[in-house]
Amino acid sequence: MNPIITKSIRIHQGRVISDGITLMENREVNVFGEFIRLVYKFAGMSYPKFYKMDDLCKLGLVAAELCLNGRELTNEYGKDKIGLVVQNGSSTIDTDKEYQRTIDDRENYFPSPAVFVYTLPNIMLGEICIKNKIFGENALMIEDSFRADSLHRHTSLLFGNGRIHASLTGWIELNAEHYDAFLCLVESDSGKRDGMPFTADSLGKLYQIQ
Amino acid sequence: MPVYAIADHILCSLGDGTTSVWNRMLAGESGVKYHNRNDLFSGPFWASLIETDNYSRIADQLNAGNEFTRFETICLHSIKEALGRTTIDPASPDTVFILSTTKGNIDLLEKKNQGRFNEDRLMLWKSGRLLSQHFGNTSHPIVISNACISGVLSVITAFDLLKAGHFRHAVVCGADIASEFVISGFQSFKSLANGPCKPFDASREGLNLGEGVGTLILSVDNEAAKDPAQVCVAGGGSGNDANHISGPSRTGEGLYVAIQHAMNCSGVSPEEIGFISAHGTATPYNDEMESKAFSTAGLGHAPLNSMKAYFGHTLGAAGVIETIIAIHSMKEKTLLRTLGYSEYGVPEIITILDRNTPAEVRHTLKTASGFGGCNAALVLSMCSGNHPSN
Repeated sequence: MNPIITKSIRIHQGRVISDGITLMENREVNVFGEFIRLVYKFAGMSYPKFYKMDDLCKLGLVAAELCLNGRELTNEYGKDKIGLVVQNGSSTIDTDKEYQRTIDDRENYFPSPAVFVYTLPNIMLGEICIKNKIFGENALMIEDSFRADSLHRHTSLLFGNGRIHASLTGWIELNAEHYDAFLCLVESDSGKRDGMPFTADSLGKLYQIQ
Repeated sequence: MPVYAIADHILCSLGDGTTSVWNRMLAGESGVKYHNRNDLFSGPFWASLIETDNYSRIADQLNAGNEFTRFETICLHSIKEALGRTTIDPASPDTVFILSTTKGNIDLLEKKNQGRFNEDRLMLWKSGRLLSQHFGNTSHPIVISNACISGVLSVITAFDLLKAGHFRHAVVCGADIASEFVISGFQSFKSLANGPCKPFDASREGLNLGEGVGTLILSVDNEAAKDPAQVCVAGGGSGNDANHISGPSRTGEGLYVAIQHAMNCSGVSPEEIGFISAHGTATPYNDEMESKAFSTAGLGHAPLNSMKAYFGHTLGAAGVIETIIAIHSMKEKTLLRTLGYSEYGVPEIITILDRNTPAEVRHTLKTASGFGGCNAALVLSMCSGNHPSN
């Protein structure tokens, strides 16, 4: 039973797009921190932890919220059969630089655990898992750019040996003011839902049209 | 089709080469030392660092022109040494390179290193590409950066790729260097022990960081090994605690999920597990969490160790280095004691190795847990009488 893509979300260049349709657009706000707060509100979220996160986690969390769109996958598939397969390009470079500034000067030395913890890219997966009670597979892979083929291959391996029945699969990248989130909800095809066949080609097309 | 562990190499505080590291572990030596290195931290600290003589010798051979960073140099050395024990053509499209690291070239962010290399060298994808291209490989390298489970996850990914027929050989390299960035960060978390760490011990107070690299080569072709493999990878999986980003779950649920995935994939049952190479960082909560997960998974009977007091927590290298030592334990029929452990200090009943113990183990479980609530588990099996896996 091949998996299908039942929803996709892209957040980039001041827009939120779902399955090719623009849901929200704001080109006046140029600062990522402000823009992502607008998207958070648009998504109807009320999650105070959001404000404590670094920008990469905020981007991933909001993308996951919009992609799940109220679906409670844990009820459908079991909490340990839902996975996260995410590519990223710059790891946590913004937060790395922020943390480095706190230790550059021995006379003015203030390393903070609250910043340091966000210097691992998979923390974003942890935040998504906590918010959505997802206990399944995690994989964070670093690529120079969105790579539909390796994203498809890795997700398929997990579906193929039964470790996941559903996943959030995509590309979540943040480097200075460049941000790009693309997430797909991929599910085992039970025949009850419509979706695109889960192929590298579908992933590539969904990324491009958005 | 079995996936053989055909060759490996380790470089860490305990030496250059798996045999050298293994012999010093067998003798109960620890590479965790007291350091007063102003370039790495503002005060004294305990850590496991690659010895200067070893690094200089390697750098003289590989990096005479200073074209590589410290991180790249140790990776190139380790991969070269491991490949030397195989007949694999690393340039072949049948071979995939997988790099496991948490912070790669993070020391390039330091002021003293700025301008020495192009800024893209900070990017982990660049590290992966640099390594694979150095060996002439044109396949797209995979880079996994998933905190402290990166190494185990990389071995699992290699296994999955080979099993599904995408490649015939996988070169899995896990590495992290000691840096002020990471040492100060763990210090700010108050996670570092003020002395050699004591995994699973009642008086444990924190971890020791370690610097190192491990390379494990997996292949579906045992003929590619210069010495035939005795141990195979049988399957693995991961799971998340969904609880806290910087502290382990109090229940061990994510690690339990990872163990279940590993058991299902390998077709091995808990009672067949003869040895557990645990994560065992020696922080109070981590070791407690692990005892709960192992107990819940029906693994309380299996002799278990943590290797952290031998060579510290090597972060992105840990899963690879410790898997290699677990493989050698199976081959040498000797389970190493948990160095640093003396008094039982976890809530659930598990079997902590307190002395080196002869044992013929058919199936081993290797686990890891990390920030972000992530956990991974991997089953290793003796190749003869290997369990059928799906």
